[in-house]
Amino acid sequence: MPTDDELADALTAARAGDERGFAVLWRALHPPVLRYLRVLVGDAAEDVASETWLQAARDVDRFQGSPAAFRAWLFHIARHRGIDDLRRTGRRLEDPAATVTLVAAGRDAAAEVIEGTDTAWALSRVAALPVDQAEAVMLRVVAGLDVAATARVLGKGRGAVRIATMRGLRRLAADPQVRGRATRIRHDHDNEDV
Amino acid sequence: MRLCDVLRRAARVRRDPRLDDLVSALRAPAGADELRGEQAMVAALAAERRRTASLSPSAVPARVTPRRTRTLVVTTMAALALLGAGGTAVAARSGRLPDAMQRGAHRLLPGLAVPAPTAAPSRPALTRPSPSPPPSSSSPAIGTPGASAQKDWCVAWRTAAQGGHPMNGRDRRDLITAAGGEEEVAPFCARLIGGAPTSAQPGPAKKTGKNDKPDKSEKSKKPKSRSSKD
Repeated sequence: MPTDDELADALTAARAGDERGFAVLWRALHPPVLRYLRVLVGDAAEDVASETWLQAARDVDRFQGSPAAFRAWLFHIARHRGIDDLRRTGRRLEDPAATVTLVAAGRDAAAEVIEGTDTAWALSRVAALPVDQAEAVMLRVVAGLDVAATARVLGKGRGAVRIATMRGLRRLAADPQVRGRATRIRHDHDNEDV
Repeated sequence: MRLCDVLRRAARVRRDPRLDDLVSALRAPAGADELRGEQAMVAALAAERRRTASLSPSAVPARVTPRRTRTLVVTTMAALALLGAGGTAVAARSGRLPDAMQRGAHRLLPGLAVPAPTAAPSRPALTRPSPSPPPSSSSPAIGTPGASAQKDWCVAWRTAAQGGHPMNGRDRRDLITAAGGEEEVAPFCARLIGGAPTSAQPGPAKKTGKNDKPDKSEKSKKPKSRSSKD
């Protein structure tokens, strides 16, 4: 994982149109963006992620901030592109129907596309949450945004973000699949993960 | 501060040990498939940035390893092509990128019929009789700019000449090149689309960033989602 200094350098380089800058940014941030979008738009995640990056490439000169702020900015773009995509296909973010199909389609698609079936499985569990909780969990836990940044991305208050995150995590902890899996493979997963 | 510190701090939102496996799976290092198409995508991003900023691409030569890229590119190009006209990919295939970028795209996409930049910007000559079919429109940017594209330029030129919407700078250049000079445009267009040669000439195009966002109008037509506020 690159340091903030490296990311800052990469940002500068990317602004100037240097591939190396984009390579650093993309490698660090594409995976979490893609995972977030998988939860949000299911199958369309890869296309929407590409749109997100292209828009970021076009507008990056308008962005002046720290690497952490860049991360939030990128997820902000991803979210709007995702919502656009849902609209194009006649869905709404908060549609229960959309969420249901996301669970089914999302899991299969993710299993096909992502090699780590653990990750695909985990994403499918998050996608089963109500969308506000799913988004809060993805942005806080996977994207690594703090409460304030998450609140800005989602256009909500911090309190609402805290509550949505907490409820989402609580619901995940009670998810029978999550519990079953946790007891099955509780051995060499230590917490030094990132 | 390292990014992983940020992530670790964010991890404090998780208290329940039952979530450990789930959270580590959510944050697992990227699988190969998630990073698929990296080089092609990165090249496309850099090209998009340079195109937007109109920077000189020669200052930052593309670094590519064509071997692996070829396979990667196929998938990514499909995605890019879906992004619609105006995309770099489309531009590259139709040979409409600035020369240095076109050269990069040519090297980068050997399997995809991206033409090398032509030494002199020569356009298909007007002598071509071209009983062209009506522009079947859905993607006019694909293929070489033939008679139908030239007709479009002429229409845009006329519109601009009559004080209407200013003409896209690149199209204007291409039209002038195709006509064989700025003063030749009016007779050239008269031959192509008929009507009296307009002597007035449109000035250089004003900034038109609009082409980049073909989805704008579509967006505004759609019903507003309530999602972003509640």
